[in-house]
Amino acid sequence: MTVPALTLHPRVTASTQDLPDDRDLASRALAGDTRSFEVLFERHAGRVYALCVRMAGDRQRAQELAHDALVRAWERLGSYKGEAAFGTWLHRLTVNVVLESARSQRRREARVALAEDDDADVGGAPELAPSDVGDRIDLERAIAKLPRNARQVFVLHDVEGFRHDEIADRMAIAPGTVRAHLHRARKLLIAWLDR
Amino acid sequence: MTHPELEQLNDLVDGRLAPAARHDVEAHLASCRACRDEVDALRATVAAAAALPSSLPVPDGLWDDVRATIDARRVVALPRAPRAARTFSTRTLAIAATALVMASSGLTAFVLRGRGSSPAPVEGVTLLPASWRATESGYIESVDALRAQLDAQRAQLDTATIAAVERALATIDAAIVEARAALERDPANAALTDLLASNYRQKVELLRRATQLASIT
Repeated sequence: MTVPALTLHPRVTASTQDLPDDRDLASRALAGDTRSFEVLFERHAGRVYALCVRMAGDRQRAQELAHDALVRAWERLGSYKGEAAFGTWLHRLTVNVVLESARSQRRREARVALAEDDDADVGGAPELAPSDVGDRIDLERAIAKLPRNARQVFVLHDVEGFRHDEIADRMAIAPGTVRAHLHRARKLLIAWLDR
Repeated sequence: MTHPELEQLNDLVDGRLAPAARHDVEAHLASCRACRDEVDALRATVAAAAALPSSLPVPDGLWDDVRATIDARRVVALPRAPRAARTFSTRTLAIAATALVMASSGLTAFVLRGRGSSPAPVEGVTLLPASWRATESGYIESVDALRAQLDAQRAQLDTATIAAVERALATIDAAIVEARAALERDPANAALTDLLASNYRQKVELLRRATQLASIT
């Protein structure tokens, strides 16, 4: 049986509560229906983008990573079996895309003989927003200024709720290193945010 | 006890201290204001991080960019075959593989034959055009992902189908190598760029068909 294409207005912005659930949409998208994939995009792209922003520490790079993650999701829809929620599957896939990108970046740096110096991207205390802008914006900006590895561990653990062993596995580092990065990230954030 | 290490305070906040160590640290905190402040600051930071919004507004144009990339990489939207049609689908895949190989290798031979004498390669210059390298990396990424997916699903396909797919892939790969070498010798030749892109698209399509067949069996 051929899965029928979803008939929607080209730009989906209204309530989606009457639309098919994520599993149905994923099935339609797997059959080539890009409009169904657009509905999935509307539902989940904000979370993908938020994860990329915090992990990358840079909005331009985050947009590129979100693009790559969503394209990869389209290409790998066949591997989504519907056992977990689509959002969970997409979130894990996005983490993989971001961490693979970080590994590639480290390899490129190694090729030009720049030894990995995790302190290299530590600036001074970030220029935080005026106090009336709010603590949340301050924290987002401070996270963006963290050293890369410390930032990624902090986001995965304290924002996204991954366990130490999951982070160690995904980042291919020792659990003790995860602990050290997490400690370092929190220490810097506390100092910068003057908590 | 002396002041605990900051790492220990982190572990306390994360609930990762062994019972005995936790008891010692908590006893210290009861009498040490400075360490209590450290723990309060850690807890405030952890709580603030957990309270960050899970979504952020998506930049304008992100969907358009994603859609454009999907369309550029997609060859044909393939309908999913019903389970009952497995035998037919397997046979269809073998026929499709043969057709793709003929198209890929035949087109390569035709184009390369029609080029006449190719320009002599410039010594030391073997780089492909920058615009093509970006496109090629996209194809390679798709191929790698589909290949990994197919490898993980091999058990779902019968031996004859796998053999047909592998033979087809080997032939397409040979066409890619040939077209790529020609393009390296003549990087400004748009026809060669189109030919190489066509070969990659055939490879992506074949892998997509194979993974989709494996998914429904």
